[in-house]
Order: sequence, then C-alpha cells, then structure tokens
Amino acid sequence: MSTIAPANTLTDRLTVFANQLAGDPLEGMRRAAAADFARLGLPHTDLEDWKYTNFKGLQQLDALAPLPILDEAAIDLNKYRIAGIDAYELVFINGRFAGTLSSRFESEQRFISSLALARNLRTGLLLEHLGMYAQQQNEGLTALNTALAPDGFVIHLAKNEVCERPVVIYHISTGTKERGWVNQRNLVIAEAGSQLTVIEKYISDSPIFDNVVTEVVVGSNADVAHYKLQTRYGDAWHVGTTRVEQARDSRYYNATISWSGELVRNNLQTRHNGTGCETHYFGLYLLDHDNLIDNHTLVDHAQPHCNSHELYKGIVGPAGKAVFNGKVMVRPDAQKTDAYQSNANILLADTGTINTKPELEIFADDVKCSHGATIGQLDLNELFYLKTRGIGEEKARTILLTAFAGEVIEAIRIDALREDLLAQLMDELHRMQITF
Amino acid sequence: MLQINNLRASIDDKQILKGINLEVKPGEVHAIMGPNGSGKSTLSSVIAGREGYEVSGEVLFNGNDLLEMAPEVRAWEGIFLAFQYPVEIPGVSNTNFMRTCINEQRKYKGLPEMDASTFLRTMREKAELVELDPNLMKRSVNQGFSGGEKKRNEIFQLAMLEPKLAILDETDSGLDIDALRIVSNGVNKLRNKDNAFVVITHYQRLLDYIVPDFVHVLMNGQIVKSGTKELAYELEEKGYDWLKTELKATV
Ligand SMILES: Nc1ncnc2c1ncn2[C@@H]1O[C@H](COP(=O)(O)OP(=O)(O)O)[C@@H](O)[C@H]1O
Ligand SMILES: [Mg+2]
Repeated sequence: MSTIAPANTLTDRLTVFANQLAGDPLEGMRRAAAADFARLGLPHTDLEDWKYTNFKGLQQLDALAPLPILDEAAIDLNKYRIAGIDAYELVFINGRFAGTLSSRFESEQRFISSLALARNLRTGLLLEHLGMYAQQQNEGLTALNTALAPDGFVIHLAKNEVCERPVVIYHISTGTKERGWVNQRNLVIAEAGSQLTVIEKYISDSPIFDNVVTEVVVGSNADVAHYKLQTRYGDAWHVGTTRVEQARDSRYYNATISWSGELVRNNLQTRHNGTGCETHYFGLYLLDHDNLIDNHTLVDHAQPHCNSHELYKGIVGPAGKAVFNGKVMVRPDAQKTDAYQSNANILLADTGTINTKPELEIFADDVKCSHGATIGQLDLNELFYLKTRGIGEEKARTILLTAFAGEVIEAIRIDALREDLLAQLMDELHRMQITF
Repeated sequence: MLQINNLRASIDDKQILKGINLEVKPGEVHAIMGPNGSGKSTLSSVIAGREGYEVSGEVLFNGNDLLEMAPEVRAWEGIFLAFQYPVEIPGVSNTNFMRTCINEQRKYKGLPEMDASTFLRTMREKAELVELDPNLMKRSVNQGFSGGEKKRNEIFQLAMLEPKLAILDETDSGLDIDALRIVSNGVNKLRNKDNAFVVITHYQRLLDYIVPDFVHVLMNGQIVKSGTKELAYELEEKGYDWLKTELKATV
C-alpha cells in the first residue's frame, strides 16, 4: 500500500475537479453535471423513488475515508475470478483501473478498455454517447457520477462484430478497514448486428460505497447479454444505474444477482427506440441479515411491436429489507407491445420486509401486458412431502428455496457461471437455514 | 410391525379420528375402506407425521413410539406414504430428488452414498416396474404429470425406497384400468414376507388386483367392522348404508 488519494471528500472533490477540467474533452458535460448535482443533492426518503430506501450512510459521504492505492502485483486475481470462463478481463481495484491485471483489447472493430484510455482513443465515441442517456437531470447521484467519475470500463463493438468471449469486469475494493467511495462510469456501445456478453462482478473485501453509472447502447439487430453479480459484496453500499437504449430488432438480456451488500440499490432502465426490440430482465436477491437490497426497474416501451419479459425473485430473512419497483411504461405509439412482469418473494419469517410495487402505465390500447407480485412462505405441503421421503427439515427447506431461486440462475446463459452460481446458491441458502 | 391403540386425532377442536385400533404384521396386506370424509387420509397423515393435529393414543412401529419421531425419521425407519394427492415440487428434478432421498436414508443407516451407476440402474429398473416414462425423471417432481403418472411416480418412489410399511392412500382413484393393473402389478412384485401394506381405497375393484389379508371399514373416525376380503365384496354389493343400518341395530 502506498500513498493516499488526495481530495476524497465530496466538497473537496467538486472543487478540485473544476480546476482540473481544462482541456478534458468531457469538460462541458462534467460542468453541467456538477450544476445538476448542486441543484439535486443526494437522494433522501422524501423522494418518491427513494421512499423505501433509507440510505442514511449517504449523508456521511463527505466523511468517507480516502481509498488506498494498492500495488497491482500484490493482488491475486484468482481469489476473485469466475472459474471456467475464457474471458476478457477488466480489473478495477479501489476504483482504479488495474492495467497489468486486465486484458485490454483495442482495435478498430473491438475496443475493450477503460474510460481514461478511451478519452484519447475513442474521444468521438465518448462525446457522442457519454452522459446522453442516464438521467442526470433528475438523479443526484447520477449527476455526481457524471461530474466526478475518474474511470470505468468502455466497450465498443463495431458493426457486425461478434465478441465470442465474454468481458468480465472485476470491481474490487480491498486493503482497508474504513469505508471509502468510488464513482465508476461505464459505457457499452454495441453497434448494429454485433454481439456481446458483459459480466460485472462487484467484490468487496473492504467496506465501500460504489456509485456506478453504466450506459448501454444496443444497435439495431445487436445482441447484448449483461450480468451483474453482487454475490461477494460484503457490507458494501452500492447505487448502480444501468441505462439501456435499444435500436430496432435488438435484444438486451440482463440478470442481476444480489446476495450480499449492506445497502444495495440497482436501477435498471431500458428504452425502446425502434420496433421489434426484445428485453429480458432476471433478478435474484437474498437477504440474510439486516441489509437492504432494492431493485428499481423500468422498461420504456416507446415503439410498437416490442417485447419485454421480467422475472425478479427474492428470499428475505427475518431482518432483511427488500424493495422491488418495476415500472413498465407503454407509450401511445407502442401498439402490439407484449410485456410480462413477475416478482415473487419468500419471507423466511414475518419480521422480514418486502416492498413490492409493480407500476404499469399503459397508454396504448392494443397491447398484452401482465404482471404479478407475490409474497409468501415456503409451502407446507411441499415440505411435508419431502420429509415423508426422508429429507430432514433443514435440507428440505434448502432444496425448496434453491428450486425457487434457481429459476433465475437457470436464466444465465454461460454454463460455467450458471453452474458456479447454482452451487454457491445452495451453500448460501443452506447457511441461511442454519443461521435462522 | 405396526400397532395402533386408541388413536385419536383432532384439528381445530374437530375430532376426526375417534379411537382407532389396528395391528399390522410383516407380510400382511390390510385394506381400509370407507366413505368420503371418514378419516382415511387423516389416519395416513398422522402415521406419516403431518403436523397440525392434536393426537392422543399410541402408535408403535416395531416397538418404537412413532408419534415421537419426526416425519423424516419415520421414513428412514421404514414408513412410506403414497399420497392421495401427490405434491408438485417445481424446480426439483425427479432424479435429484430421488438421489437425495436414497442418500439421506443411507446416511441414517450409516451407509455410504450410492454410487452414480448403481443409482441410475436402480432408477431404470424401478421405473420399468411401474412403466414410468424415463423422460419424466428429468422433469420437476410431479409437475405437469398426468393424474396417472403422479400415482405411478408414488409407487416408483416406494420401489426405490423399499419401506417396511407402505400406506397407499387411494392410489387407485383416477386410474384407468390399464394403469390400475400396472400399479397393482408393481405393488405385488414388491410384496414380501418382511414388508406390509395398508391399502386405502374406495372401491373393491383394486382389491381384485392387490388381494388383502384383512379388510377394515372406517366410518366417522372409527374402524366399525373388520373381516377378510369377502367383506369388500359385501360392501360393494350392499353399500355403506347397509353397514350404517346394521350398526344402528347393534347399538
Ligand atoms: N386440515 C383439516 N382441517 C379441518 N378439517 C379437516 C382437515 N383435514 C380433514 N378434515 C376433515 O376430516 C374429515 C376426514 O377427512 P379425510 O381424512 O380426508 O377423509 P377421507 O380420506 O376418508 O375422505 C373430513 O370431514 C374432513 O373435512
Ligand atoms: Mg382421503
């Protein structure tokens, strides 16, 4: 561990950053965002969108410790790696791009690298897209991210480029006992006819507050699969906004798996900008202590003949608090929309909390929209059936919970990742059984 | 093997079993008949260990107090209930389910896990016994199974687990004549001098295939009459009302 990054508090950062912007191609965008942030401030529970998400820690943002800068050579990536996947790897340690641990790829057709490097290598791309989609005008943390984020990942696939290897982003905090914070800004541009799989894995060995914004542009007839894993996230705080723009006949496929983290808020928003789009959202959250996991999703059907399919499932322990808010907007032009949404929850004890709110706003008449939200407990008939076949209480519960949650894991299309997560899920649920 | 003495069970202050006495010895097949709502399924649930009943009396299984045991322990000790309404378990494949059941039972008996090839061979053999489509093994337990497939899956599980005492709760209802024959053949092949069956049924029809040593009539929570298989024919002919009148007369 060497020195400490200067100017880590919020006010310091905002002052320092203003002085560093000269010559930065992103200067205009950053200054506008800083002004937005000055107007919006940090989120709080009086805001409709944050009503159930009491993120008290945010008010101490100013007081968060600076993060240590670690020697990349001292990091053993194998500790964090998803086994069995041949992938491009981009590694961020305490918010800094770890070039020596990463497998960058920078060609005309295929750019898999960092935001800091893209500033020179893909300036035009950044100016065209960065900050154009995420809603920084009405979300303080997004504005803050746009103003400050020093780095992140940038992936660009040119027209018809098929990226056969997935890109895995390891976002790791480690090496300190005090909570620090990171703004990470990411951009994914998959041009027409291209194909891409991205896996974001958030890892917290040290306490962290990650404020992440990812903008994803899926070109016409392009295909993007996007996985977000918060499976080894310790007591992290996380606010992550993924904003997706889909062009006609494109496919976007997302799975968000969260079974750790202290305060987690995932925003996932997709807008259809052309006909024939297909959007899949899968989500799984497990809360095993007094943590909070909040998923706010939006599918904005702005064009006709698009489909969206959404399945979020959660298991909430006696002290956990989960929030699901699923908004489906069907605009007047979006005839022949087919939108399906389901949110199913199991409460392990009636002291756990789940706030689930499907929000369907339908302004077109020739559409097929359905949604369902359930909150239940394990089925006693199923439990009894398993027991009469010689499976004890604890094991029977684990089997039923694994089957319930497994439906989401099954949606993962990378065999090695799916099998790895299924095995971990079983252990995790078994541990939850023992704990309660 | 099984000894039931003055067994009473109630639920929400509603008395369902009102003093049942029954003894089942190894090698025997007992049939329990009775009208709807007489308490047949409740009796099998109480023996299998379903929670939620207030139970008094005594049930001994090979001399041990069955009522003290958790349901899974009863299963390990050799009790099996074929459900009247088999339960669907979404997301759990039949194969994984069976493997877990077998290995949990073996763990209880201090045996190592069954090796994969023996397990698969046994699965295949037992599935053939009840003519169960092997493709169903990959599917979730009972999910999307037809009524007949569910019942055959129960007997398949019975064959896999080789219990000492099997209770078949209306396994015949909803089966067509072919399925009935298949299920009965399966059961008959599993019968031996060391195990016993309690066959609950509505219809004498089943007892043409699975021939019982004893027939008991359960009415209103009590065994009101016991006899041999001739009793089943008599019931079929005269109906339960005959028995009701006869009983009134004796009171
Ligand atoms: N969980 C329960 N709660 C209340 N009453 C029940 C319950 N289960 C069974 N009963 C009642 O007990 C009686 C016996 O039911 P059951 O054992 O299912 O009869 P059978 O199997 O002989 O048709 C019926 O009157 C039924 O309504
Ligand atoms: Mg019944």
